[in-house]
Amino acid sequence: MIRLSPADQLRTALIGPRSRPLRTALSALGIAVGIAALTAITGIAASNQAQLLADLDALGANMLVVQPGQGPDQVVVPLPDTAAAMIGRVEDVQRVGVLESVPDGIGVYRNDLIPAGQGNGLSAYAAGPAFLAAIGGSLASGSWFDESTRGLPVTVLGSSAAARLGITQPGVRVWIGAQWYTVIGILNSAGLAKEVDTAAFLGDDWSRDNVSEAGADTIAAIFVRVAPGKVADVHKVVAQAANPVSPYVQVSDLSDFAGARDKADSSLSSLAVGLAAIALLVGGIGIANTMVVAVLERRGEIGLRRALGARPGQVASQFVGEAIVLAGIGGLVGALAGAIAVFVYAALGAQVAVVPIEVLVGGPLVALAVGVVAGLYPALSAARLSPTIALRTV
Amino acid sequence: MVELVDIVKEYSGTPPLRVLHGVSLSIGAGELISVVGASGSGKSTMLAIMGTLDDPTSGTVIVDGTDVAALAERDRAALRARRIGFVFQQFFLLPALSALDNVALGLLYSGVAAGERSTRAAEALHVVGLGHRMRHRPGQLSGGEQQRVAIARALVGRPAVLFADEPTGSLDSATGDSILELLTGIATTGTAVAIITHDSSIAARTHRQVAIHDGRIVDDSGSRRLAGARA
Repeated sequence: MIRLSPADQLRTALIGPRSRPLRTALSALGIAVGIAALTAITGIAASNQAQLLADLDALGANMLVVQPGQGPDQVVVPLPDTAAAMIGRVEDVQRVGVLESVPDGIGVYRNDLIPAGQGNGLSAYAAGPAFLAAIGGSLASGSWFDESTRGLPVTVLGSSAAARLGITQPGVRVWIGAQWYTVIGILNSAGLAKEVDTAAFLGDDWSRDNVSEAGADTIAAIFVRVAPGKVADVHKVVAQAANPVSPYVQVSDLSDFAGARDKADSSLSSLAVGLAAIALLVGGIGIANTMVVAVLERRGEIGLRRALGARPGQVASQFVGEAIVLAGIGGLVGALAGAIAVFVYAALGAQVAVVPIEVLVGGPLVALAVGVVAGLYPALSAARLSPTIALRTV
Repeated sequence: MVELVDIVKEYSGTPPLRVLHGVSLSIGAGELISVVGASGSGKSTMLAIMGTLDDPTSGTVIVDGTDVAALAERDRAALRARRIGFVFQQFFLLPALSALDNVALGLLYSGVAAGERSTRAAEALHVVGLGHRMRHRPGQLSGGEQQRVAIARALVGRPAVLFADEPTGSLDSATGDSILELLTGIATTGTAVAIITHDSSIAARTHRQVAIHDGRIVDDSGSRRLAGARA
């Protein structure tokens, strides 16, 4: 039996697309849209994921936040003053940073002329010298509290707080709770710990002596840095350690936020896969339609090939080959366009661009499979066509 | 080279349509014959059966010594690829391919390697006088040139028999004459050539004329000659 070489099969499959380039481009476009959607959205999800992991790494994924919880009567149960020290004794806890609250109604303003209602969504907290290291934070400029400044009317601003107040350099004064404070430092963004970004920090000694009422419960949150891989272990015991007499202690794990975002991303991905599947189905129907028309139009060629000695199977494989070529072009163009979209998206968001290799390779392969399915029926009808009828009906 | 014995062809229907009523015909190597008949006389059906493109309802077809009925579809395809050439009124050239590639297509299904296909296609184009038009596409060629390309495509496989169905039907008479001369020349190389035509002036220029009417051979100058020789 005479077989065509793969090169001959490819040449034969290219005859149709070469004869009608515009139609080829339009039929391939449907598939290209499907594969581009698949590649772009999974790539964007992967890029977000990568960015999230980078954020977590920067912040330290091994972080727990212990906060006062609400009791059954909806009243906040304060953490005892000993909580930080108790937590520090828990095994695998590396560092503990205490964020202390200041009385309600203390706003943060650029100056004393700003109306009290325009608080910019900023809050004031008090913190000691160890806090910055405990949360893994870093300074954009200036300095954090030390033993000498923790008792002075000075403040360190979170990155968003500084931006909202229009402050780029330390040295200026801001108006916090009816008192001028000199800005001594500005933090970099703390990633997932958003409350740090929108905070103005006061020195803990200063706050206790001059801002808070004597004897008030002041612990707003305790940031606990844990040995890598021990978050779950510490999570179980840290509430008990913080307040042995009350179960109303709220412990959150920053990787919970990560998990939530992860889930959001994966639901976005399945939506993308659904959309891509629909686009591929429509693209496949487009290719099938093109091939059905091609078989009708090219009856003469089919009859001729049979007269030249082509077997029905060879005629069928020519038309399946053409459908695969159409879908393959669409798949490659789509994968390329999708990858470019991911890179543009990542560049706009100053993120890392990640295009999963399995999508980049798998997308065009899926397109080829669509081509085979779409080409099958037209190819079989071409193969079944009697050569005499094919030659006569031209 | 080709032999039809008592060929009957019916198309199903109520009542069945019988287009060939027991046709018998023998074409020898190097013979140039014409099959003449009006439209609907059954001549194209006869050509399709001789060319193994269609099956008779009954009767025997022998091509190049082989009983076609005994062949599987793939062997029949191989027989067409290697032993039978076709020329059609509509040329059936592929518009996207050059003249050379169209001719080379004639060897695609006979297992000849790509390089040799091109060499032999170039030779065949020289034979039909189109050595200078090899790179042109069908759209850039005149009707006569296109039919020459189609003849070169039929010749390139060096067939034992060449069937031409109204080969001059789409051409003016001067161009048609040159195509007939080309086909006559091919017969002198030993290939049997059968021309199907409704035009008796074309038939007159072949060595032997077979007239077909309503599915029956009503006249065969070859058998007349034989009868004359016997008498």
